[in-house]
Amino acid sequence: MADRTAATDPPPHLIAAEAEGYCDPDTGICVLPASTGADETDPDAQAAPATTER
Amino acid sequence: MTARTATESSTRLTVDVWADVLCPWCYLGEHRLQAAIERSGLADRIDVSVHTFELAPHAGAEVVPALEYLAAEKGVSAGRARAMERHMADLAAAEGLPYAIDRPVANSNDMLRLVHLGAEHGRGWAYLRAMQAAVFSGDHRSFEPATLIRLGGELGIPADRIRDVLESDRYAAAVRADRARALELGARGVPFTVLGGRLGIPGAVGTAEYAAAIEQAWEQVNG
Repeated sequence: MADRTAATDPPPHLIAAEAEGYCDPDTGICVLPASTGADETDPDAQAAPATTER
Repeated sequence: MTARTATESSTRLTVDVWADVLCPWCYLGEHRLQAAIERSGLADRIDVSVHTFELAPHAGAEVVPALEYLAAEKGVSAGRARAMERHMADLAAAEGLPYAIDRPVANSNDMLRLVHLGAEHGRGWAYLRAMQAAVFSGDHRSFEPATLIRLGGELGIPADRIRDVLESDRYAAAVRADRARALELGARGVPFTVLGGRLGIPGAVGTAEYAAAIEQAWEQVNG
């Protein structure tokens, strides 16, 4: 399995499938879909950055 | 999966992956992508090309527990951080992956520069995943040179080359360039995966979605 080749030249077509989760390239914060219920046990949710669903 | 024909025998599919060692979704997504590749029947026709995406270039060099890092560096409340981490640990456990909530976190630039060294030896993807396995299993020595040399050595990367990188800023420009390239291509989520140079997947998806994307990209490169 080769390891390094030239990356794509023209921008790729982004697949519309919803990501299960991702890390934000700008903030570095990793987020979960809102439907996970991960916030339910969070007593400090109001002060936290928004967890978004894509 | 479409049946392979004699005319496809020389065709290959490149999968470009941008990731950070410390990124939980990269850790999970890479495992799923690898599983999809192995189940595709095309593993011997697929070349994974690893690229780095530094998510926290300003993180400190001192190793701190992940929950402490999220609160101090990212402003995530302790409750939310714990809930998110527990959810990630559950997802990882469902796939048989270790996931320590109190894992070590520190600046990943050295590790990412070593991924570039690994790529020169054809082992960038494997080196990245080996470092992730150490971090996410909670090994608080993951960032130490001795650990990085041992992990690289297990992949056939010479120790003196690893030391050279750690004692210099070698590949720093390559790390910055990889990040810029991903953003240029539209990476709005990390991991960022591009199949066949045409299909991009921002963020982590399930193994089935990766498998479907591989099939779609394979059909395109044969089209």
